[in-house]
Amino acid sequence: MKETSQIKPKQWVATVFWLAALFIFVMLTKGISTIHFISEASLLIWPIFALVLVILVLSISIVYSIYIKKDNDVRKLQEGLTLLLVLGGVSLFLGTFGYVAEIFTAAIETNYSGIFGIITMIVDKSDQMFSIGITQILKFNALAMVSIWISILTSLIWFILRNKIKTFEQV
Amino acid sequence: MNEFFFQNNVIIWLLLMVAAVILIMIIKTVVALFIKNRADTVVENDLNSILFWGTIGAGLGIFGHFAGIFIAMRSILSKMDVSPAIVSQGYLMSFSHIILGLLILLIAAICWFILRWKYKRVLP
Repeated sequence: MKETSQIKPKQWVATVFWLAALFIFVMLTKGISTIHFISEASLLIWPIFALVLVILVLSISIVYSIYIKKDNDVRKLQEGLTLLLVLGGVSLFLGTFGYVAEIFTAAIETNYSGIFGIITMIVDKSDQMFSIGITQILKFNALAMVSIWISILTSLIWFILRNKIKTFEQV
Repeated sequence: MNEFFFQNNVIIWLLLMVAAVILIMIIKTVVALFIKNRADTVVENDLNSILFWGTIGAGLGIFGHFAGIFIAMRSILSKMDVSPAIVSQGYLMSFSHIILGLLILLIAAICWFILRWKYKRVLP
């Protein structure tokens, strides 16, 4: 069995890195579960959360390659970055699709078409479907908010890592 | 935390921060291209950053739009008070975000286009 002093410094850095990544993941999961609007969102939010998991793993693996493995294979890293950007786009697409689909469902359920139709119904208070209308609006707004927020965060990660990779290219 | 984030209108501050970053990038690129007559990879990176942050601004604006509607609907649902003032306040808030975000993108895109044209002319 290796003694602590015999372990290479690189292994220490890698261990600390993975522990930090695990800590961030646990904290994020805990944070997400306490946000009340998640429970009010459309069911399409779950594929978006699956995407978040993939984005997180991909980002961590690129960060690991750049900072710990010191892998300077620009082509390989850029492929990972492109995939990251595509996943952010998929999240935005799912959010938009879910938004439109939920408006359509709300229109069928309440007999008021479109978001302005539902808002007119709420303000007029002329229908018994009042709370259903509001719940539907909350549903598709929460979905759109989550998908846009994830796309913004993904593109920020992409931007930071892309700048780092560009420095390799310049070298 | 979420209440603070939404009710204190943090998104407007985020949008203003993005606008400030874009302004700094524009000034930096203008100095490099028009005064120092320099066109290298650093200038190109700054140039692309202008468009990137403009897009982030638009994204934040759209996010703020949905957040505004979400808050209005939540307050209606919790109080069961359908005051037109609450609905219009939610809408006003949401549209101010989306307009500011898209305005940031528009200005950033126009500046990017002009500076890109200059960059190609300065490029040896």
